[in-house]
Amino acid sequence: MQSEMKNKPVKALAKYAAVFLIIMLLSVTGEILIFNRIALFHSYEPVECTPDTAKMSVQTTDSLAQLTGEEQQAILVEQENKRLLAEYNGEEYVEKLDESLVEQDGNLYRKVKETKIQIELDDSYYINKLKLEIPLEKNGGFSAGIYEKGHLSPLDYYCSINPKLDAGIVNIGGRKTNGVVISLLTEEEPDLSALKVTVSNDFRLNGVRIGFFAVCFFTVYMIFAGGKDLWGLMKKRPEWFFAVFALLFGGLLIEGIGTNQVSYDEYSHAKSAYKLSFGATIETTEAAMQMVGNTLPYFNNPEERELVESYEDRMNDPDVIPPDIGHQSRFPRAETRVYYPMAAGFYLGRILHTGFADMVALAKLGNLLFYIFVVFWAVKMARGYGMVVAGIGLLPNNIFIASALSYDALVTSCLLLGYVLLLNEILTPDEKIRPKNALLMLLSFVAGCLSKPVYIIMALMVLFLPRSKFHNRIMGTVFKISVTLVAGLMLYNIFFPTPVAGGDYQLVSNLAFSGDRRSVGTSTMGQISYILGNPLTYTGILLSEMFGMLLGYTLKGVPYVGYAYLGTAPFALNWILILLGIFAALYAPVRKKIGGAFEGLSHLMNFGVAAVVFTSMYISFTAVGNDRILGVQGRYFIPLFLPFLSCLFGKKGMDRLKGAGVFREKLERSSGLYERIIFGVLGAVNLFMTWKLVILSVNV
Amino acid sequence: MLGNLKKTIHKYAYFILPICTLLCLAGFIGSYLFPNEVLDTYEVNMKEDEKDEEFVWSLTGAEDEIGYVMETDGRALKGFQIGICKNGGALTGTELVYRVYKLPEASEKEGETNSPEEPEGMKEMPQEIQREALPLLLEKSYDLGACLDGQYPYLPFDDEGICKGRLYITFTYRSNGNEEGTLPGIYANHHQVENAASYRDGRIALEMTGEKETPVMIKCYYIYSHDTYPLLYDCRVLTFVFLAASMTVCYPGLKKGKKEGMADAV
Repeated sequence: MQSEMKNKPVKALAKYAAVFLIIMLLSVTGEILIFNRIALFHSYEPVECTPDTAKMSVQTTDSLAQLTGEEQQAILVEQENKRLLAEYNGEEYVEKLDESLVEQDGNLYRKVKETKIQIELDDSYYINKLKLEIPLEKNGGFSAGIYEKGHLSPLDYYCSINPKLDAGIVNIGGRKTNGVVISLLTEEEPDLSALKVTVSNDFRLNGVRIGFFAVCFFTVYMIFAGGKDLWGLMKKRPEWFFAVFALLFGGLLIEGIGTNQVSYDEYSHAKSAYKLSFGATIETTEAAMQMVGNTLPYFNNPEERELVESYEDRMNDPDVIPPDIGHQSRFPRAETRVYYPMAAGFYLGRILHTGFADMVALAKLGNLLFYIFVVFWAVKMARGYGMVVAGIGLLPNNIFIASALSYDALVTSCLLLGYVLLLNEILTPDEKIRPKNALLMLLSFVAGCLSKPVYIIMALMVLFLPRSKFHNRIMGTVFKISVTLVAGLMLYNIFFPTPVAGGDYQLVSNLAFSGDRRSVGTSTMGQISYILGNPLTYTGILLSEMFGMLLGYTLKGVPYVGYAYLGTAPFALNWILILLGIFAALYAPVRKKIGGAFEGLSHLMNFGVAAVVFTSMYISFTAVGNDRILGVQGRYFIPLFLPFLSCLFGKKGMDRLKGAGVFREKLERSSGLYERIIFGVLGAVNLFMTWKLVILSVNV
Repeated sequence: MLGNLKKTIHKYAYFILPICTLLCLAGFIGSYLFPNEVLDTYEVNMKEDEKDEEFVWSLTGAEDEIGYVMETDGRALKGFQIGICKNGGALTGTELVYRVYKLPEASEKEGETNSPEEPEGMKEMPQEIQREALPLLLEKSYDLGACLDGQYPYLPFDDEGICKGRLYITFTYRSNGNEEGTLPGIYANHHQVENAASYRDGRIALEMTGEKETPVMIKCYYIYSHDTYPLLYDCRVLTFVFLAASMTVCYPGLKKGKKEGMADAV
């Protein structure tokens, strides 16, 4: 009996070691079969072609390339900002168009040189990668087509050439050909003597892809083959499983995306976090300067990634380009403190002398770990709604933001924790509030609202806590007044911020000039005057925008799940997640559901916060008097998911529906079926998104 | 150990939370009373217009004087940054002497003469300034050996904030026995700056660029200051957070009440 007890951990260890080995074996097999199948049988030494090679012909002509909508909008915004700056400085603004641009039929075109390159190969090759190297001063790009069975395919393979890399690499996908046609577009006359085209089909195992397969197999194992012990643990300690899944999914994103800045305003968050990682003296290397200016080169495949990271390391070397020295106050502003988790990563990377890309990865990891830590406690402390919280925590949008340079992860996680603690109080009207819980709840709300104070309205739900929660009436009243003052002071700071340290003092403290500089025609004071002058018109705009967005996400096919600039998931996923949310809330093991006044008040609070979010974007991001509200994104409402789901069905709710109670009993008796459904669906959605938008787009 | 600490904190919560509230309140008041002054740097003239080039305006002798008129818009100027050209010399011991005079407001016109033939944008600027007729606000010097060639050193004014309104700032040098023979200069260009003009020996400096007469302008930064309240935001919010948390503590008096039958005081 004793030896059996002793052998149990050893057996378990052996079992998990075997599972690990099988998972790794399957992952490497998947990597070979899916991404290296052709290279396994048809790899060869890379073939280099230059204009000196007899089989390469080259011809350059003048051409025009139309700017994209985004590029045209960026020029408009830049002109508007210059106009504003000139107005602020009391100077006359004269609008000028860049000499390299031409306006035709209301569109902007760039004058370019088009170089046609034709390559005839000596033999037929399976081409996986096509690399074009040419020194450039400005951005360029090329499109390529190949000869298949004597016919030229359309020029479907596009690739940009960043002048910092002087090269671009495009995936051809292992197609067999004996000829390549390339159309190279450059702003300047290209130096064709330095032109080099390389075709290759190397057998290369990729760590990111292997990692992806490993996470997929691991998730499948946990959900379908983990066994009763593991599933029992999942039911008892869902927070640990949340942490593991979040770390794996987030880790994949960090490693897969690298230094490509694809999250919302990532360069701006990178700037604040990087600065915060220093004391009073900031040393900004050239690589960091490009990161905060959003001018680092992007990569589209692992081969380009190597070029980019090598360039970044060169630019990060103080012996190559001396860092810029700047100074800052030792006391960071309150809003800036939300960057500490990322700043810690930058600091760690610097003292460990890692490469630049690894330092950025550590900063993102700092953000992810902090997010996991806070949501872990939110799941752990939630009374009954733990899996709803874990589900919200594992939403792909949240995992993506937590794995990027962004303060939104801190906002979401702290508000989740704050509302969980508030919900606990609401669910237990006869228990007194404990000082520890009250303090943690308020600190969580305050931390979550440091950078987005409008959410502090959520904390005002404490005003409706019953008298029985407090030791006496006076204490209850003072408690509620204090929380109201906290909320009021945080909202007051939006309009009258405490003075900043820095040269932009006059500009940021001048309401007449405030407004989001990313959008044309904004003016905080102007918009407030407009709203006050036209209250009914604005109410109409507000309601139409709010319900328009709700209908868009539920009926009109607007995708909700997304990885920022990497793309979005199909619309069907909106409904999969809505149904999952309903399922999680409906079968949450809550002894006593919210009902009565709190139900209505929660929905009212959700509506109020949503209206304030829309209004804040109207004031700060939308041109004065516009009949639309610009800049509002669905992710801004994630903090409201828990208040919404927790009182979706009221006290009796869906128990009235036939079978709901029976099914709940079945779920409660099962080995973590409820938890496995939630983790399983969210795991599948996360991995699908990562496969589609990260693995296939930049890691193949 | 952690458990004991938690128990102790829990046990003395009735004491700790009010103390924290008072500390935050003290911090809140203290932050208001003792603000932290920080300097603001305003780039005024650092970029050349198209077809214009930066040049060095040399100080040709100890008597030679470069002047600059500016308007502080009611704020106290805390300092100035100009570009120093040392023409390759070390200039150890040589001092740049700068003086600040108070000019009467544009409507008062004292110690200055105006010309109706001034270029556009300079109509309010005096054509000639006789500094002897102006009140001297400040005189200081800066050791040119301490800065690098081409650097824009910070030339501090006073701490009391007397340099306010319309100012006339002059720059001369004092060799202090330095026999290097190298003369310092100040970087300038022809960019027009609102409410500012540069002067040479008391006369407004204009040069012909092409067919147009344009003003010469010293390249410079203005340095102002403002107060920051680093802990104000935190302290004022945390005061009420701790006050709210203090209201959830079961104080010893309340426990006594419970013994006497107050059900709510649990």
